[in-house]
Amino acid sequence: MGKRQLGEMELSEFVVAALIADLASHPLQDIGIPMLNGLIPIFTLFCLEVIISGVTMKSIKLRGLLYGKPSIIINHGKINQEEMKKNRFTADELTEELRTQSVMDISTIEYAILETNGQLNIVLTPGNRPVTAAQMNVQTEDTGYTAIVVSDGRVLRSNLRLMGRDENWLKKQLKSAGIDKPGDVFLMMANGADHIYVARKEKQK
Amino acid sequence: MRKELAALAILAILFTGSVINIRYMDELSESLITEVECARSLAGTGDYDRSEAIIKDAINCWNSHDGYTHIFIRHPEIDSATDAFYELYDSVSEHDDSRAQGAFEKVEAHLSSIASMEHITVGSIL
Repeated sequence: MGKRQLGEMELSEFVVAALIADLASHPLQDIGIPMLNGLIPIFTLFCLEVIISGVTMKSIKLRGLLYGKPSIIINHGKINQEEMKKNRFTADELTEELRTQSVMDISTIEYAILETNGQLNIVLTPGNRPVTAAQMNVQTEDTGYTAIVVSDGRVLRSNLRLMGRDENWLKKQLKSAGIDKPGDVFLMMANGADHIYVARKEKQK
Repeated sequence: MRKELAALAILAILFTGSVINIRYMDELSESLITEVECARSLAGTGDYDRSEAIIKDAINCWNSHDGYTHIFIRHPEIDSATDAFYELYDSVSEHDDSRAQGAFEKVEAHLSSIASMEHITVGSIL
């Protein structure tokens, strides 16, 4: 299932997760049931889930069969009521989702797609989309990746290396911020453009 | 792909382990049932002393598999079978033929039930 959260799970993944939790609880609740009776089905389900998710990565047909397909709920400002019925999606739920995404006028929506994990994604008509810097011909600065350099007094050397910096650079930055040592820093973040954020550790009361 | 292959390998190991476990349980229950049957026929001819000795051997054999049974079999099933064994031993040592007949049946039924429980059948799935 990777790092996805409960709300992002597919139905089959959610069922497997619920089953694993249930199987694990039985030997814990009843001491008469050997631990192995819970562990073997858990391992079996876990392996099956890994295999199924691996196979669905390769097969589009199987993916559609197991996880379903995204449904277009609004097409060029027109609600597809048939699709809504199919997905048991009510008008109230639709308007709630639209309000959550700050869309009040359905006619401004080019597409609203109900994803297989239940999320509604909205594509606004070109005239209603937010203007981008590229459209405005505005040059923007590439700030690069913002990494945590010091967390709660500890220097994250791997992040320093990732940014192509070393501890001498860190010392200089801390000195310019009026801090003697990394141990006095609660959080320090830096990006490729050398924009630095430093939060000093609060003194313990 | 490595993850999927590892999962397949684990499933294969689990399946093989299950088959080995079923065979082991079948052999154990069969050998115990044979001993109990032997004790039953001896008790039927009135040779209670030898019958008692065989039952004692069977009990020792059952108890010696404690480590295995407690890992693979539900504990109430183990307790029921152990109780049935001791009930049988008690009835045979007292030369109580009417009680012994029922006790022989009980032990055999428990052992068969434990072995069949491990088998994969339509009934066990449904």
